[in-house]
Amino acid sequence: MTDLYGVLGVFDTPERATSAAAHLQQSGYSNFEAYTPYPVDELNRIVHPGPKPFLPILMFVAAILGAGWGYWIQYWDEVVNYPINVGGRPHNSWPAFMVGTFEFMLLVTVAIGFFGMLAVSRLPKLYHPIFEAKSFARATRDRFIICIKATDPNFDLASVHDVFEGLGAERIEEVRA
Amino acid sequence: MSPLNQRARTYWRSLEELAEKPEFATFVEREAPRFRDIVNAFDRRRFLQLMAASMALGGLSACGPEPNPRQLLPYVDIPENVVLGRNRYYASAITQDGYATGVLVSHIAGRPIKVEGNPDHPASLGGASASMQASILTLYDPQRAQLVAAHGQIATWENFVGALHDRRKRLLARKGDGLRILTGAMTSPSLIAQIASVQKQFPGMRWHQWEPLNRDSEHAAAIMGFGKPVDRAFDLRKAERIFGIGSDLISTAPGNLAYARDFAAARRPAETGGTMSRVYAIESTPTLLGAKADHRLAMRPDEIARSLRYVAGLLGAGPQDWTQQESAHATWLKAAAVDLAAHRGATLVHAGREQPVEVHLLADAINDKLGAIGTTLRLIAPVQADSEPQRQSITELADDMASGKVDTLFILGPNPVYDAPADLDFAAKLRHVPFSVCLSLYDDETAVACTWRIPAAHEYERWGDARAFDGTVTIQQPQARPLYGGHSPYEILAILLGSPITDDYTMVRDYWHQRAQQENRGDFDAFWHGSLRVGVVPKTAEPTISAALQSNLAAKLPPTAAPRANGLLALFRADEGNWDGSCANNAWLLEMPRPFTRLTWDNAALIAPSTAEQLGLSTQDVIEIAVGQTKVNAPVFVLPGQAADCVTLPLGWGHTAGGLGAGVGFNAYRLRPSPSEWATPITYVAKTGDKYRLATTQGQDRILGRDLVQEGTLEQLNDSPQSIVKKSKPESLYPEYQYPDRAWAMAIDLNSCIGCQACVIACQAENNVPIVGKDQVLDGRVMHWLRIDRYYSGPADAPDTTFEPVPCMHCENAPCEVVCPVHATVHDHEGLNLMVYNRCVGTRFCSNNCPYKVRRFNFYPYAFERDRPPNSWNPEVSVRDRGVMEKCTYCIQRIRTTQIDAERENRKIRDGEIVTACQQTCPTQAIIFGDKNDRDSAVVKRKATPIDYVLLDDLNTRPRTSYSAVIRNPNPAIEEKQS
Amino acid sequence: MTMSVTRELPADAPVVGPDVTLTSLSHEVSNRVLMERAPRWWWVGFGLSFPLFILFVIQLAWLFNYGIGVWGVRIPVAWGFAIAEYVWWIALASGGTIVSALFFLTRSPWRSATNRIAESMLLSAVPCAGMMPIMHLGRPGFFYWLFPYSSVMGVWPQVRSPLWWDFICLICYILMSIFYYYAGILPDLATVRDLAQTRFKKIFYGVLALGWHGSTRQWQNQRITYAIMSAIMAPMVVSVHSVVGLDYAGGLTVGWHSTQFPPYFFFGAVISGTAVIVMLTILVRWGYSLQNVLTEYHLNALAKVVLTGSVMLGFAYVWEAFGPIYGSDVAARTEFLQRMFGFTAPTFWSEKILNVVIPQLLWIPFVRRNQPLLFLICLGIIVGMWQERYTFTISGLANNYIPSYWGVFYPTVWDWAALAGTIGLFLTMFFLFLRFAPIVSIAEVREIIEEEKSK
Repeated sequence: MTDLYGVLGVFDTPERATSAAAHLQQSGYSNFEAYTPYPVDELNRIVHPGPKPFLPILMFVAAILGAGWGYWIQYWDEVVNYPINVGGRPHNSWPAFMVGTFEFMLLVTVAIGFFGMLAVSRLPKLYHPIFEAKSFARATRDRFIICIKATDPNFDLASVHDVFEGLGAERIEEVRA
Repeated sequence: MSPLNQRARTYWRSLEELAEKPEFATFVEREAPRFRDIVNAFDRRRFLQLMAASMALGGLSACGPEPNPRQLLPYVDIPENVVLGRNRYYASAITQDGYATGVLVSHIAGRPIKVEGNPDHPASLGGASASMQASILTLYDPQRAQLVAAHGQIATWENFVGALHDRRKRLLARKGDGLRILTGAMTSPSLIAQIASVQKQFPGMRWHQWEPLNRDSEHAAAIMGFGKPVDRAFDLRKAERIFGIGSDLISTAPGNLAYARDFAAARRPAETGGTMSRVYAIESTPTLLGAKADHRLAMRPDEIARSLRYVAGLLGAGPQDWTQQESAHATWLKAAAVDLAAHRGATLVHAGREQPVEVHLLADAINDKLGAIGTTLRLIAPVQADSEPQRQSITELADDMASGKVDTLFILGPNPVYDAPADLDFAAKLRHVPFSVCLSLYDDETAVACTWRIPAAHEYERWGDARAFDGTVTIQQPQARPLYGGHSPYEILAILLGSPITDDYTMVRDYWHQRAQQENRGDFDAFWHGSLRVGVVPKTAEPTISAALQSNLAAKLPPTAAPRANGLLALFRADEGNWDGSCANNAWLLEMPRPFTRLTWDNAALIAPSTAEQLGLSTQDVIEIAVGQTKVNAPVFVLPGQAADCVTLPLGWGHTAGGLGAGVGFNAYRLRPSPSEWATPITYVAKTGDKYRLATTQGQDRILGRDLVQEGTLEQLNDSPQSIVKKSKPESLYPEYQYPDRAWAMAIDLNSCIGCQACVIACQAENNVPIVGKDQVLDGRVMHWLRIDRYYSGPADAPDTTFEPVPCMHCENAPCEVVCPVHATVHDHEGLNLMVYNRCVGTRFCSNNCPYKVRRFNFYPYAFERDRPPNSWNPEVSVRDRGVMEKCTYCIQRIRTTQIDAERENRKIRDGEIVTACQQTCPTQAIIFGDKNDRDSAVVKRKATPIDYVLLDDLNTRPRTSYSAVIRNPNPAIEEKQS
Repeated sequence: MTMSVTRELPADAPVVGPDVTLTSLSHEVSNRVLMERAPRWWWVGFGLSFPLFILFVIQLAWLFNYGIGVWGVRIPVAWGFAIAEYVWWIALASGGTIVSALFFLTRSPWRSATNRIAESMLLSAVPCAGMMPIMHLGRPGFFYWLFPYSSVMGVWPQVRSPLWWDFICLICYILMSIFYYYAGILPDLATVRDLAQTRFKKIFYGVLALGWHGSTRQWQNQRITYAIMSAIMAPMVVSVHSVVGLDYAGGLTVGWHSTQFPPYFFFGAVISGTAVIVMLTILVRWGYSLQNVLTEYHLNALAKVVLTGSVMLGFAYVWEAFGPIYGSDVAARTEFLQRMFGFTAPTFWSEKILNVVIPQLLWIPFVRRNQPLLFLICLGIIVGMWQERYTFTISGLANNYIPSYWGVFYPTVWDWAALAGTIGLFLTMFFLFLRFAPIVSIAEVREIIEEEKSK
């Protein structure tokens, strides 16, 4: 059954979904993902444990680079490229360059942050197998879905069904790859 | 540009056959009125239509100018002496009142571009007046007369010559009976000689002279006083005390430029070792001399006469009983008299042309008493042709015309229909003259009223000669071929004489050939070329003549006039820009802010604040002024310093025909009666209730506590010079910029500035500054790079007036540059504050940030809207397009030209080698420009004086332009007016 | 301050109505976007806005054809309506970011339902602000010379100019606002996508949603980024309006050259921006009948922000007067007296009343809940802020250092056309936002619902 992406269970409350996820984890499942209409913190912690420092660090680095670029572009303009006496001010009148530096820093940070977020979220990716599932649509509204992937080492179609039933899933559905 | 364009072209190319075509005549009929009334309502769009039309005509002049008028060479082989990009000067002269002032016209690429004063000419000494500066624009004015017309129908020059020949035959038959020639005041030797020969050929001919602003009373006084006609020439260098009576000494009197220079030279105590002249002025309406006076009194004309008698009495120049009469200003006058008496031989009393004979006699008497005659005042033989009173002359002419005694009239120059005394009704009487010829620059009121009108050649388009106030002769050489087919008076008179030679060059040259032989001046060609080159005919100045003033003048005078019963008085005065109306079509002069009112594009009835209060009038109210039966509507302008009960009506406005000036302002001549030309009682003044928007360029009259104008007294200067100007030099966080090689700077002496506006127009001419029109002036968009602020201090009815020329300050820490987001205005290595037009995007932040408000913005494409023939722009200066900022550049084009020369000759730039346009034209040398790093340059010397200061120095902008404080020399005996 | 809002939260006004569930919320909000034809009131509003937008285009054409001369600007008043209105618009826009970013950081529950309105408003106002400086250029075609790009002339912008700072600020602000808006709306677009019926809408919103599927990983990334973004947008918006203030403070012009301008301007941004949001919230609430999502709680909280803003502004006004009067500069004092009693007197005084005096009514809880009153007060503030910008822009220039060059500014019909036109541009854009993008942040309100439940 290579064309099976996984099996999903639909839960009606975040609590149920969370406890289900916890149970799956204890029963040794490692490769499953939850889809929710809004972020549910416990669930997140269970599904993806551990700190997530990547984006903050990325944006911090971006901030530094942005500031550097911002100052450099002004310095190059006024001091290197076309140094000329403007109102008797020195070529490198750094106090006047601060605004530009600051704005460039913020712009680069936010831009990198935005695209960084898309990248690590694998977006844009208009197709995802989970979209095939009939019950998925409600995951963006009012249902909480957990999907055990077929790639999970102790994935077994029959047992997965049982597990979900045991956890009180409203619906259980197989997702084709 | 409209079919009008090609029409204009074709009719020019082939005037003859077109002149026959009826539809062309109708075309002119259709277009001509538009030329006139378009400017009345200053509707911008319609203004443009006119300009578009004029542009087309302007194109014609492309084939005109040539340094050497004798032959025209196509440019493919460049005329010798013409080097592209270099300018050459050609000497000539321009006349006002008939008196000549020498000019040098600079030609670039063979085109006359800019007028400067001729340093070798006694009446100019290098200075030039506003109207001289503006004359170059008149030369190119496409609205000048271009068509010969007979009875309003387009004709040709040949038609005219034919007609004139018939006329001549008839005149010869009756010995010239009924032949009259009317000219302005005449000093041209060759023309006088030619008229003399006309006289010989036609004994019955009579020659009339008419200047609306004539100097009859001066001449009359001279004859009464000295028993013969004499002219008065003055030496202000020797005058330590000057007493002006409505004096035009430094404004419009013949020789005023030279006088102004000496006047100012004697009033720079900080530079001339602590001495300066003291000036008293009594006058009815503000004059430039009055503004500079240390003590000034505004009084009615009758008061002036009485006060002068009082002074004369005190000084023993008149009977004692004159001193008995009480006078409101007794103490003032006594103090002045004592001061004058204390400086015997170093005083000068001068009365303006508007003063009555009586006043001039008294002035002469006092001068005589104080030993002025021979020292500060010298008498010379009259320079003008003959001194028949012009008022009488024009009156007789008018009467003769009415009684049919005149059947042939040549009007060469003047515009009597417009400016002859109102009660003569010249226009109506002119209709009785069967054959009248008008030679005029514009199709003005007289031209359209005459049977023949001939377009006149501008003074820069013909040969001629004229004499200066001291008699010096200048031979006028043309600067261009007639651009619009103008003709010279010589031609017309020659045809009248039936002489085979009708060409002005030959005639003038022949005249001087004869005269040179009589005066045995040796080799004629040397003499001729020398005279042309220098612009002055050597040894032609009149020598001083001795004439004793007849004693007991008092007897000659009428008894002391009783104080007039109160009533408004109308004073007629020359307009500072339009003069007598002959300059009224010059856009630059129309838009030139008048020294006191700062008005542009309009004249107004000037009324003293107190009088305005009594009459319940305020500026911009329209009043109806009635003198006898005639009524004129005029806007009111409340003018501080105007005498109470006196309404000054500037002449020279309200043309009904001609060029741009037609329909601008109101015509005060209509109220001007022949008996009393300068002051006449007003029957009544009525408020119409209307308002009329006057375009003045001054925001506030007072200085409002700023340190913009700093002033002190002579005592202060000599005792504690440091105490006069407040200085503050704030520190800067940033290091100072260094200007190692050259650092251009300017110093302006407020004491020397007489507010004549010459620099404003000079700057406009040099730097291609466009005019904007009245509506745009009202919108605060006037473009002058250099302006002269006028500030009042003290009481409104007797204020102190200060003129302050404000060009760009070229700040070292220029606030404008820092806020320009595109490097459009930056500094160069010599400290010039540059304006890069092509880089400007027009944020206007620089203007906001300029504390001195010297930046000008092209809100509309002004330079391309107005009627300016393309070839009249100064090719050295780029013409600015819409949406860019512009401002004073210290005439950078002149700096660079000189710099290139210096580099080519591998030498340093000499001090004074570079002069800015404003500096060059300034009659009083108030402006000095030079290198701040050159220890012994004139500018450094002036800046070194203790009274040197910069505007708003607490803003730490470090301006390169600095000012010398105003120094007054008050008479301790006259208590100071509290400011 | 906002904490206090939460604490004294009136019992009768929950953040969201009790009857709102995840299901109903998603449908309600999404349907506004997905509904076949827009409601009548929308057409009315759009129908009123669009002609103004046409006017905007016309005046633009006229202006660019005949040049800046068609406006009343002159020397010395070289900056007129355009710049005053630029400041005015940018202030309104900044208000949007203040509400959505500043109050995200303070975790104010009421922010969640209103931030999308705020940001839509911001994105509609920023173009109006951006157009003004370009329109006011003498040669608008060359505005791009301010970009720090390597032009053929090899001449770069002059970066010491406050105008350039301003330009850069504006560009950055627009871009960052778009990122911020998009990062927030992404999940909601997914919701709309999954609710869409027609194929076109499925594809349209599918593409916009970039394939968002709300996995925990995506949620985490989105949350982290959004939080940091908010932490950046907050200082950003403060800087934007302070830099606008520097346009004036950086100028050597009487009445402008004062360090108080940056905070002064920011306070103005707070009050005017929030005021617009209040007005729009009332509109949306009524138009889309979202009374139970946009509750009185929200209006109450927003009203308090407006009140705070007006108090801060009052403080700034005191300083505005204190500086010149206490200071030693004659020119500054004269200028301020002219501002109070001269040509600009009417706007000067009415601005004070509209911005500071009348808003004090908001101390009364009843007024904060009374929508018509609230709406009028806010409208008054918008007008008052316009007058404030106009007054000090004109006055400082008109009464400058050189008395001989004083002159006042008379707006022409084209000045007014520019104002009306940009208002048209703003409303048109906002109505399009209303129609095509979820106007309430569904995802965030879902959390609020859960919080409410768990209480």
